[in-house]
Amino acid sequence: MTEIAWWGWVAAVTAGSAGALLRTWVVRRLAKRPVPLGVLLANTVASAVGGAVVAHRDALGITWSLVLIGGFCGGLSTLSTLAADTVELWVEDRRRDAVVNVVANVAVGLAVVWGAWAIVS
Amino acid sequence: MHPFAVAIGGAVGTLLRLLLTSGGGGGGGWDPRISVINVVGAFLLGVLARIPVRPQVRSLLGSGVLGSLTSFSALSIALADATPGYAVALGLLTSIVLGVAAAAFGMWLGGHLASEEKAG
Repeated sequence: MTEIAWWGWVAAVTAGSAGALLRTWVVRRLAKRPVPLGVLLANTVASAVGGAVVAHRDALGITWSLVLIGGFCGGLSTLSTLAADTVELWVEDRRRDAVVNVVANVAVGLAVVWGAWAIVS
Repeated sequence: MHPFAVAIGGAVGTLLRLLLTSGGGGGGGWDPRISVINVVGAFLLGVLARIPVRPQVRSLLGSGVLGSLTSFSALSIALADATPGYAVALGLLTSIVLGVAAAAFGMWLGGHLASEEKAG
């Protein structure tokens, strides 16, 4: 913790705030049919950026890694909205969509992490 | 969308997550604390989804604080971080399965609280 510069904490919180704004905007822009595409896109972009950052973490250093991964990617991606959306789909008797929602987030998220990491490495 | 409320809430949620996971190195490997945070955040968002609050408060707490407090990327990124495959799977499984269950319980509780308030 002490290795991280003070400005890194400020930048990480600011980046998290920007990520939250971007996520909220994307979620509002994309319709929730057939699955909540906004959350899927936010989680996908955050996973891709995170994978690329991990590939260059030594060069970036611990402070910038915190800003980008802990701040921006953490603020952009979300688990709580994914969980709540999945329950809403299930309650609406759209159970197939609920399962697709979870599977798509996990499968695409992991695929882009690996892809971004492999491309940037 | 209330951008100012989302921005403030996003900053608070991010700060809380970073403080609660401090010592984790800013994204190195899967941290079990992330799963705990995700489950608690999903429960609280479930409650929030069913209780009547002003739109600004919903943006602040839902899209802002809870959206940024919880994290999907912290789990997925572990795949590129030399974290063992079983730990990545465990992180995703605990967060999503327990998170969905917690959100469902939160919605039930929130709906119960809202109907009690209406009746009272």
